[in-house]
Amino acid sequence: MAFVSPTYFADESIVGGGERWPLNLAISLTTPESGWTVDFISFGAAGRSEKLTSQVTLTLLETGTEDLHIGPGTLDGMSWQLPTLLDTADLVHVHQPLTRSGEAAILIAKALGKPLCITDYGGRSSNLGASLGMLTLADAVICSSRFGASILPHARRVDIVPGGVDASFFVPGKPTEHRGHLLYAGRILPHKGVDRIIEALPPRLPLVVCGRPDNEEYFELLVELAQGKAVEFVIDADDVRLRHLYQHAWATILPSVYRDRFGTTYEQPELMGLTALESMSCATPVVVSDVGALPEFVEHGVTGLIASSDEALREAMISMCTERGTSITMGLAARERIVDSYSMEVVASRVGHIYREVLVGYATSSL
Amino acid sequence: MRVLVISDIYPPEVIGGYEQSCNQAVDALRRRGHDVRVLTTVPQLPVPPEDHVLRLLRRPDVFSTERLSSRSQFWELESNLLDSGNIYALTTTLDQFRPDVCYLWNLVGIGGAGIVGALEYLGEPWVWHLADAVPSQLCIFNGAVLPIAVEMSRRLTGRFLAVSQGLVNEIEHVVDLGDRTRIVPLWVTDSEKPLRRTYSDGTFVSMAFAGQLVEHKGVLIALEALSQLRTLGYSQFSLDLYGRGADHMIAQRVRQLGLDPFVNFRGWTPQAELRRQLRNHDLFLFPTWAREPFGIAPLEAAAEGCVPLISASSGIAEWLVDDVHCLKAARDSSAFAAVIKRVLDGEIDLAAIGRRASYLVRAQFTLEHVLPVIEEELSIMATQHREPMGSRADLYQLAIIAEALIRRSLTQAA
Repeated sequence: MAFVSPTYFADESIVGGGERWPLNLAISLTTPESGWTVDFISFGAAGRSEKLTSQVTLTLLETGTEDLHIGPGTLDGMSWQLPTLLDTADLVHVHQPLTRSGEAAILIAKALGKPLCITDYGGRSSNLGASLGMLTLADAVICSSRFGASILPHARRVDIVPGGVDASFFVPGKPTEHRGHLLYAGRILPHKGVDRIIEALPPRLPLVVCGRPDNEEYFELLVELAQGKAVEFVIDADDVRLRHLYQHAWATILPSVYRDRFGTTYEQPELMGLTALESMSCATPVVVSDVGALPEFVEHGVTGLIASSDEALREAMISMCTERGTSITMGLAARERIVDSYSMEVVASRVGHIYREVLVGYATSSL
Repeated sequence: MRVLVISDIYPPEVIGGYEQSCNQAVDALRRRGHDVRVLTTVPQLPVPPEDHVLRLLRRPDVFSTERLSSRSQFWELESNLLDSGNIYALTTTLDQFRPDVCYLWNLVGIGGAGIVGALEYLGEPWVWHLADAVPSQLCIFNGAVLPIAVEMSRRLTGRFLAVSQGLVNEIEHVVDLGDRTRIVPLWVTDSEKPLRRTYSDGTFVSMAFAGQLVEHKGVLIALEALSQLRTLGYSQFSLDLYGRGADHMIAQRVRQLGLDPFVNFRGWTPQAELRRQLRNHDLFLFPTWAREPFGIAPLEAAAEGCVPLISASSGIAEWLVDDVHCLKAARDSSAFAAVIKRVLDGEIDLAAIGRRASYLVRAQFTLEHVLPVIEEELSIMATQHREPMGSRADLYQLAIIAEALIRRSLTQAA
């Protein structure tokens, strides 16, 4: 398999759900029993290749900065080497198709006659392909939520495979361990609504904001709003630290918005909300806004709470801290839901099944 | 066989010998009973309709000198890489005609890389007649070789007929043609019965040059060679220039070299008339550039018994033997002057070379001689249809997207 993604999960690229999900998928798909290998192709300032596991290789292609005026770290990376790499693949899975990188990868894959799957995570840098019906060229569009499927242009085949969290890593802490804060986990961007949490936060209630501050202006605003409140910013957490924060939180709060406090509107703010699933996997319930795909993964009152207003958000945050028994019960239910339905093992099994169907379809059509 | 011929331009419009040869091959295949359709570009001016010629393809205005002088990247995109409109015309024609094999000629100007890529995508077999370095030219964009085009060219499955090994070598600097290439010459037509003519005994040598009067065709080399002969005291010669081009510049050079009494400008001359005129000349000067893929003009001269004096690096030099069927010289004025001097000194038996050349060309460099090779190659490929990589609708959509993507990238880069 060849995965093509404009960005990859690393500090020098982007640490986000849209990067973690395909990486986890690649690792989960490539069990010794499957015999599959994945070449995870992305773009950077310099080309290199690195074995991530015995069956997963990360290949970074140097972007054509001179002739295409495209820099690394964007959603528009392209390389002349792509045809060579894709030519050896049995199947190509393009992640973030509505980007210039994605468009080029789709084009090359189909020009080479490769079976093609695509998955969108909300990354947008080009509407060209979509406006020309490019997604209809995919043999399968794999969406991680119903919301994600609903916003895509017309496609031949759409499969909704919700979830995709590493449930073997994001595990609950010991029951006896102390929980002592509310948590926000994710990229620190205006549409994530972190400002709503801080504004709703009672003065002495501890909150940890964990994530990369990808918008400087917004981050400065949050720091200002946090004055006089018990807010800690953690901007350099690795996965172990992040897991620790999940395990010791009363709840994880994800109040994403369609319109941020600066007036910018987002039509596709959350196609899944991977940190919500990570939190649930650690048996920590979530409070989510009624935005994007977030409500699809939370059964209100069972695995977490859905807050549709600022007032509801404030009440939910307080109840998660004060009604400890309820939050623990919700957390355990959340963990069970993840293991049963949303773990990466479950997702990989379903995606693998889709791959096989697509490959069989190709083999049949060429007989 | 049902043969779909694809050519940038098709007579009565022509740019050069490439299109004329295509026309002659088509007519010969039809005479042999093959069902032939020609897919070519819309004409610049009205032309008489022909049932077997489909003038559907778009092309940039190749005849416009203004356009040529201000070639844009978009021009190159449409000309060399891809024209989605032409992909649509191609798929429609394939649907309607359902050829056994496609026979490609000059594809520059019609998005030729895309045409070949489309045939590969659809599994349509093809044979490409190369009389110029078209495959490598199609891989060039914005002055540089496009790696992606070269990469895609490695996947080509068709076969090639090339007019010289020199041409193959030139193309293979960019594109690997593999072991699917056969070298086969172009041809002359309408040769009359063997000639009875007399040749110069050295007392006076009549020479001809025919073609574009431009530097790369070597007209200045010819003039400078004559100038050197004048310096040596020779004056019993003449040179008739047939063709047009940078006439004023050439005329100025003639004056500067003091060659007015020896050089005659004959202008553009119809092909048949030129052939008749060549019978009155002893030597045909062909000091063309090194990358001349073939050279029909000296072949036609040879057919008329006019001895070709050719640059040793040109494609035609591979086919004719020095001092047997032609005279060869390095491509510089001194080398050409030295050979002409030998003629003027009576050291070369022009009559023997002229008769052998005439016999050879009339016997072997004919379409009747080459046609069986063409038919054989077409037959081989006609059995090699492959499964398409996708539908024709998918292909057209891919072409539209690819064209738009390249245009958008170019616009943003600008």
